Amino acid sequence: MPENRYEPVGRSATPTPAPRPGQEHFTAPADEGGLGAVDAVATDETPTSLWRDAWHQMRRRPLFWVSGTVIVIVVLVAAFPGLFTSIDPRACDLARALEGPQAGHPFGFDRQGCDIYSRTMYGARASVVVGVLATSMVVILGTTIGAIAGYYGKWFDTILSRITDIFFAIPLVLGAIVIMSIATNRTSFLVAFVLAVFGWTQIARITRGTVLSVKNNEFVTAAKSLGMGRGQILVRHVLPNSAAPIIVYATVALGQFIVAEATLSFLGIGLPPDVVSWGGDISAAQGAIRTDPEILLYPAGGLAVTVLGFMMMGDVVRDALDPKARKR
Amino acid sequence: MTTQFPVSDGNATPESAPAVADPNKPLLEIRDLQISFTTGVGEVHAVRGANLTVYPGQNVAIVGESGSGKSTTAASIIDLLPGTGKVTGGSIMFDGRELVGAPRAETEALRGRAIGMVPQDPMSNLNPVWRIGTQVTEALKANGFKGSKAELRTRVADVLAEAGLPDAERRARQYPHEFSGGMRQRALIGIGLASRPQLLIADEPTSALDVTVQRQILDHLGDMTRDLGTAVLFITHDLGLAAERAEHLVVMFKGQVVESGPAQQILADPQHPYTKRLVASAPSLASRRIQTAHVSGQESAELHAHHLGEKPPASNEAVKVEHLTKVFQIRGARPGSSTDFTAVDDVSFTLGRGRTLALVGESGSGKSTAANMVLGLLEPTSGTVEFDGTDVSTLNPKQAFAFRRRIQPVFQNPYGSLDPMFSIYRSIEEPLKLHNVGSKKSREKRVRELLDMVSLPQSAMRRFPNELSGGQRQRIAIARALALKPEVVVLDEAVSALDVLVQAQILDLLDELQTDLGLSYLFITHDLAVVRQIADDVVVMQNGKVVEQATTDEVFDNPRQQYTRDLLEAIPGAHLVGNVAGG
Repeated sequence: MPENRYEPVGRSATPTPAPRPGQEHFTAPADEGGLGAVDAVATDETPTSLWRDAWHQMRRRPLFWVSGTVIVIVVLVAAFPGLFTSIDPRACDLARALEGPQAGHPFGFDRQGCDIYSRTMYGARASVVVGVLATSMVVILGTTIGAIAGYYGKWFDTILSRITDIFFAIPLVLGAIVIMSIATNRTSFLVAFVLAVFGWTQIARITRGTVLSVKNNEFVTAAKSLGMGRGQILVRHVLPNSAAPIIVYATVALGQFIVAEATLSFLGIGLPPDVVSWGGDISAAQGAIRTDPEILLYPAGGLAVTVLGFMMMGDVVRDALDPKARKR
Repeated sequence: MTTQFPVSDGNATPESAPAVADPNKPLLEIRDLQISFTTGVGEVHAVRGANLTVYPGQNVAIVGESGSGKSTTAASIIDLLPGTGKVTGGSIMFDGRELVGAPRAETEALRGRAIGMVPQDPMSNLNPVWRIGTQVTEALKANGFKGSKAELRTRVADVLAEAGLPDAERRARQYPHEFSGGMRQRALIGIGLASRPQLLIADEPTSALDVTVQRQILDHLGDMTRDLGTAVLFITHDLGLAAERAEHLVVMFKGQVVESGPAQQILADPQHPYTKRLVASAPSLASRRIQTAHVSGQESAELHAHHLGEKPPASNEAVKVEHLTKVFQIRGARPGSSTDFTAVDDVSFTLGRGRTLALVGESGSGKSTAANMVLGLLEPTSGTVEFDGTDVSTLNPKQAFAFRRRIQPVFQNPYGSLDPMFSIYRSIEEPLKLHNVGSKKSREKRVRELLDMVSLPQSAMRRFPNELSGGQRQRIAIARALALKPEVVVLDEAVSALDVLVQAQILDLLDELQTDLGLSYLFITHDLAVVRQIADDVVVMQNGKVVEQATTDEVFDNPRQQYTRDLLEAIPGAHLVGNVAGG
């Protein structure tokens, strides 16, 4: 009945014509057991809390063990460099400058005749301390400001976002030069602090954006109608759901801060010259990069391994904390 | 993208007049189609041995719930399977040509030209940075339109005018965001039919639209395709809509065709158990309210008192809303300027204890805004919300906190209403913890109780929301809402996002809970078909105002207002009710 097929079928008075070939009434044999399962749940008892689940998840990933090992070794070296070498990194003998690897000195000597292996071990501390400290400060400062701006909105947002923009406009190195050049006692803490003061803006922007999108979810409204206070909702629901991009950025930032410390040291306004750091050694090695690249190789390698370790760990943690990314 | 279409040139089909094919020769013939996806855990067989035949100019519908493989089957016809999907067996014959394993150029030439497509979501299927006209132009060009610029422009205007957009030339210069959802879908239908295809695949073409708009669009689509002689393959989850718009139905379940045949026959006399259930639970076809176990308000009030173990409530009115108005200020063009928008305009209604009141209206009618004011999430501009005889706005913070326990919401989106970072246990326990109910142990007992109540196994509490289906999540949301033993539950489109079978299960569950616990429901929905199944009283809203207010039976049997009649008319398959009642 092609001529009246837009009429509701039920009302058409004509009897149904015989179906055409290929359109006869067909019924599949009844399915065994499949039908009742429309709304069934996958059921088996597994651990309950988010953290315990995350741990179970991480434990099974080789990347977790690789990055964990790297981080433990780096931290050990940073804390107790004396355990790994008995040579004083500051005891240099110009007569041995640029000598190649030899017994007791596996990495050879730099231009000042210092033992590169020893300097790489001792340099870990300053770099790791600056990197970890600056990153923690940036995460705390940036997340707080970004979350308040994004969650409370209105004039909080206007003011905090403008402040963020102002700091965003100041180049990190320029700002650091101004502050460090007037500082009298240049410690690792001060370097980290200066880096954090000019480095939190990116993370504040990221947090604000994620919080803005998370706070419109219905589970937030549900929490509100339970009578939960705004601050409580922010801490319990909104922030955990905004954590993923923050973790990712923080692990990247860690590497950037270690490099930034090197930049400051290279400009002579970072850590004092008597402090051994990867950054300082990398900048010192730059002059000889064409003739003796191996001097650069070791401190730079230490930096790369550290940054890589933290970034891999960040990836693993982010995946484990996100129930959506979990595989069973 | 621009191909030379050697295939269609070789075929003697004229440029603008398709469907001159032999009407008794199948246009599309799918035989024993197998489609599988490769995933991390191995092969998933999305479609298993599907058969389907479409004749020229015919309307055929594939009906099934999400995950049944209906969209996958349709996508395989034009070789647009997502991700790792692959046709692993069977054949797809289109107009005498085999499409499985055909070279890419060949299927590309068919797309748009011989087989048009109307996608599901009009919001995301138009590129927001291009004018509508440009997008139509692109579609025409890609399908081999040859002609001058002026001809092209006239053709674009024609396409839009055909699709039922008035003032087409001006419309062509507008951007998608200036169009309403219905207008966008019209534009997409215009694009889909622009090159006069022989077959149009319409994948849930109106599921994102209001019912009245849905009806207009489907009517127009029907007229257009009939005039052009285009065959239409509908993909839908709505059995009523399918039966109304197509003469041949194909019912799919878990990748298999479980039943197919003439629409009327399937509806009147379903054979397969799944089809039987589908027909039985399709809301548009169901006749009356579920169970109606609670006979009078009196009885349920007693039940309620028993349930709470408290004194019987002060009044028989759970919620009383009077002259409720909400005005939003919309930011104007200049800074500082603003215009008032009255979202809810002088709305009054009363929700009786142990009863269900449905607030019905299309999107933008203000029904959700009204619900949010009842929930205390929005301050009314004027008017009062009385809860159990007390004006809610007069409560001090401590009383307001206690008031929260007595009225709880369940939201529409089962994917957004549960915190993905919270396990099911924590989600349900949260309200108890927040209101300092019981010890850790007794709270755990209560969570187990609640899971039983919503018919989920207790082991589900170790799970996270993403591991559950939409229906299961909605059960969790209901369990959470019931945790504090509220008296009133506000259900904001709580079943709209669910498949019909699951929807029927949830409605049954809600009804059982109402009978057992004496709950009062404020049921917000756009779907009148559902209202008939669950509600005792109906308030119809339009543009923020109440247009009709009566008992459910009165509204359905004797609607007073034209708007209500339009809404009733628009229920897909509404006319089929009488037919089915016998079978």
